[in-house]
Amino acid sequence: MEPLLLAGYTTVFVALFGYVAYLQRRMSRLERHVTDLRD
Amino acid sequence: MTGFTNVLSRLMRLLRWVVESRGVKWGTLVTGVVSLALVFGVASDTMYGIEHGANLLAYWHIALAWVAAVALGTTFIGSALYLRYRGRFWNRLAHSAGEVGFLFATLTLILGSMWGKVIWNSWWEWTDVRLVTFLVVWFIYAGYLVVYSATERDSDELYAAVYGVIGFVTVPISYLSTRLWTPTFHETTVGNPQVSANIDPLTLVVSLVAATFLYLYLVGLRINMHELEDKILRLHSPRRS
Repeated sequence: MEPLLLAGYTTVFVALFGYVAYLQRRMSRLERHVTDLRD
Repeated sequence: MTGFTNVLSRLMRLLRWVVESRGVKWGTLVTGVVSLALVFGVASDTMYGIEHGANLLAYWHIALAWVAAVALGTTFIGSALYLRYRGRFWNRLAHSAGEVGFLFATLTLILGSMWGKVIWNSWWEWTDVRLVTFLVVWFIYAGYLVVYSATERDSDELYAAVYGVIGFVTVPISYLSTRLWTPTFHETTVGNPQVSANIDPLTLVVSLVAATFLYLYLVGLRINMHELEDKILRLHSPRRS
């Protein structure tokens, strides 16, 4: 596989999975915070 | 309640249902896999008369660029509706779409630069009108995210919304730039019979659908996060709406 092609699609995957992971980690932290505040 | 506000509240419910539906998640997965299968298994790697594997970057470069325009358009509409009706949902939608649009615009620039190295033998061309105007769009939306993050809920969110409306002016200028001015490198591909980019229509359409599903999924996640942040604020100070 061409190195540029590999680098391009790897960048897309890393950026998208990184963003989703960031959102989900932040959301679970916020959900914990909501539960703590309700208790 | 007037007829138009009725339509808006129905639209709000529809948008909420779309971004929260399981269909979006599964649609993202299925169309994403089909798109990659078509890109790597079916599409030709010869474009503009140049045979090179990295030409296959074009499919997601174009798809991400188009969906970035949709996302930034959503920021404009959300900001305008927030300015007019002050519904918290519209500002959340504007910011969520702006953040996802910025990510997609960044990836468009990176993939475009790599593809440009293959077909123009250059990573970047300051003389090209599309490249420079798209970079301006990128900076404008980086500025929008900075302005939004610096605003306080309820008090000065207005500034981010005004910025979201005015900043959108750069988007149609960039997308129409190759028709408004003479391009030096990035020519108009769609509806231009003089350019034969040899892009497989099926692969491009499937990639576009996949990028759209991905956009809806990410915007849905981001809106959920905004709602949780608001819930925490309400729990901290119950008098706030």
